[in-house]
Amino acid sequence: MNAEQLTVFARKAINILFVSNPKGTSLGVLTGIVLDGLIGLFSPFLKTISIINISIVKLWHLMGLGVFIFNIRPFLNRYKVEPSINEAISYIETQKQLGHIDEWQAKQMYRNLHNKVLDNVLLNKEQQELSKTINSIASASEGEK
Amino acid sequence: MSIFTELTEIAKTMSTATLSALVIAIVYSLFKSIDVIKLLKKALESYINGMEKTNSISVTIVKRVFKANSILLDASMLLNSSAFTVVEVLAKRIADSGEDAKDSKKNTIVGVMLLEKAKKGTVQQAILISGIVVYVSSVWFMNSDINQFVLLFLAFLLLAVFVDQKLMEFRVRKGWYGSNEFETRELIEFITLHSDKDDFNDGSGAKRIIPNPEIDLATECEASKGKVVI
Repeated sequence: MNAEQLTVFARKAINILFVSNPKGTSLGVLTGIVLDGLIGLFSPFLKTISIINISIVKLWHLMGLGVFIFNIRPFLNRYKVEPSINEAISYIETQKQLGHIDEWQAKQMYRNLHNKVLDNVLLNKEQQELSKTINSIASASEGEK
Repeated sequence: MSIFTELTEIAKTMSTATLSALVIAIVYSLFKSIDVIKLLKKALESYINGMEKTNSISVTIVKRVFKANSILLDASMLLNSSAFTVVEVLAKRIADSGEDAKDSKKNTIVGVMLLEKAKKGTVQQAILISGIVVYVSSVWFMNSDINQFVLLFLAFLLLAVFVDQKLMEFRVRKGWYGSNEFETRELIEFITLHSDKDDFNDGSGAKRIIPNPEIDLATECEASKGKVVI
């Protein structure tokens, strides 16, 4: 495995760790810790309730519950890639596996795919403003030469 | 010594090592990015302004705290220095690309995505750091023992945010970013989620972004075979 493949693999692993929803997962972990604190605080009262055994619930269970709660809605409403893009990606992957194209040709095709997508969509206003800022930084760095 | 005690000791060492590695990495990033700090400030301002348009509670809290405290603002910038440094690299590439509109457009969109990542990274790091603070405070308040595995887990999550941005920086610098399925999906998802929704309707229903993917790509594949690649 070369450096290029290794770095993609690491990025994929991090993506899996955060369940593709880093903010939700982090909030879930924080919620678990807060719940654990609250259970600890009210434990004298909770222990008097005989139908539940609160001491079984550990911090890990609460963090797991938090992560689940914060990820269930994003998972159900997860973004579905437009079918034409899926077709294009699977076409590139199939051609690569069949040996019809080389690695560099596949990379070139992925780059062309990005350009095609960019040619066919318009960014919303907020992103257009950010693009302008980056371009102004570009002009500033050109001016400094 | 029982296995659990040994494991706790290992977790203790690992969480200390992970947090120390994170601190060293941040200090090293600061040292490296000190020359470009003025340009980075511009990017920072733009993403703080971008935050104003978001009505999420956590983002609003982070924004208010950061706007009131410039030290926290600088700290967030350092934690996300990879994203900002690479935006500067991309900006230079855009300036160098001259009339190559396609190259410039793609570099711009990767830059926009990195700024968004930095924005989200700040919120995420703030949540995780609050997690550590809340956990340590509750342990202290209840007079119980610190679970080293919890600290290790939180340190590991914090490090993962930092490492992801570092890896992205490395890949963008090397020109590798976007040349595989995973990053193509990441980039396309970003473009479509942040695109003008009115543009996705061509009158007769949802517009296909690439009308004939196989035909278009097959033509390009044939054309690229004739070219010499360096």
